Amino acid sequence: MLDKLLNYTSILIKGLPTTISLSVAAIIAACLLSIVLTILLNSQHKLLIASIKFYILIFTGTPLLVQIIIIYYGPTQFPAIRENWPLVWSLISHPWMCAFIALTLNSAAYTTQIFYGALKAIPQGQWQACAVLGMNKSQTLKIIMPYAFKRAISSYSNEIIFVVKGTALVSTITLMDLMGYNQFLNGRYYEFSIFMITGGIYLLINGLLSAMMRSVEKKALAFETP
Amino acid sequence: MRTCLLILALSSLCFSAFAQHITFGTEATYAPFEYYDKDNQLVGFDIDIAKKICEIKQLNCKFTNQSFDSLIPSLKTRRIDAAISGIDITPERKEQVMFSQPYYLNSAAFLTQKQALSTIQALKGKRVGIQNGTTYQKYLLEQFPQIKLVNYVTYQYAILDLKSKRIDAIFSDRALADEWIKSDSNLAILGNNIVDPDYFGSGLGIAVHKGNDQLVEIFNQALEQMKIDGSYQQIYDKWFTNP
Repeated sequence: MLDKLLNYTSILIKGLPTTISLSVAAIIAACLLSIVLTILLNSQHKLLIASIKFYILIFTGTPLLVQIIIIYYGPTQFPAIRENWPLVWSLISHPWMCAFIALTLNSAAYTTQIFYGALKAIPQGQWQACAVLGMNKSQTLKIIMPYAFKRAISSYSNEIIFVVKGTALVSTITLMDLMGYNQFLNGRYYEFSIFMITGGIYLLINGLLSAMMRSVEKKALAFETP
Repeated sequence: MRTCLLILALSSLCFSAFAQHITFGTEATYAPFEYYDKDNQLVGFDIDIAKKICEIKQLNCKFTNQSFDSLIPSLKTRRIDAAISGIDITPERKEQVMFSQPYYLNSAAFLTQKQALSTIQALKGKRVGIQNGTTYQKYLLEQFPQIKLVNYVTYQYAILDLKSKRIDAIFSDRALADEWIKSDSNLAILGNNIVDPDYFGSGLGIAVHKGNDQLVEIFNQALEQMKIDGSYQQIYDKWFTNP
């Protein structure tokens, strides 16, 4: 029995590189993208703000699974892409790349909301203080954004865990991540213990992540906690 | 005494109602065995076989559509009574479930773009699509370790990727491949049909929960009768004999 479980675990582990590389890449890309989007949302361009809000609506309003499948299978319906833009095609023909794009765009939409919300939650007095000191918009944001982001960490760590769990959907586009190997083993041995092990591995990853984020949060807010 | 009779009556009622309801699990993206036609009706060779069995044995049959790799787990947890979904009878599966006698003898084949590859040997290092949990997956893993396997939930997605050249070939049932070639003239069979009794070729069977000998017996009797009265041949001709 133990041999069998160890054997399953050793096969499941082969999916970890895909799960982890996708999570890390998507989390970093989504974080950068959402910082940019948050700054843009603070600008005066009405059209820009409207289009970002539209993007957020699309990606927070549809299931991640739908997004992944549309990004992977959608472009193949147009042979023109394959013939006219070989570079674009070579990028999207890799399932990893499609999964990365889907996870990044999805997570960036949520993260932008978190960051922008945190920025809005900064008391008006702080903005006014900056204005009184004669700071312009970019100088003000430089002061206020780190201040806001520190307060967003706890909700942002939820979003990070969300991305890791979201990677479990990428096996639908043939990627062999942790869930992909889980499906593979389940299709061969039909054992429920395989699901338990898979769940355990995800729990371990997310447990470590949330512990890590908690300590980051503690450090970031150290000046405030007595 | 009266309560006793009542319980007896109720239980027999329950039992007969229970015995008449059979839920068949199937994965309906597998033409010509089971698929939804243009009117959204579940049709196919397997479906006709199952319906005929139900007609002969006067069972009340229902079908559920689910992913292929969840069929055997569903049998084991008794969410469905039987699974008819082009399931190859293999020793590994026999450890999990019981099978009726084979109702179809199948073979496998590689499907590729026309003129893309010339021989099966040329598939070395190429990407071949298969459905997760099938004997085709197991066969390629063990017999063609040089081939890069791409696992799909359903063959429906694999065919999309074959047409867009994300994968070089698909390995599946021959009857299935023939059905696709009918709808797309750019596709062709590569090499000969493959039969390997360790993986496929022992035939397709109807799977039931282990220990449900009664149901297997019902299926086997019905299949025997269908072979004698010619209704099996009728269904076979309907789906596999090209006009």
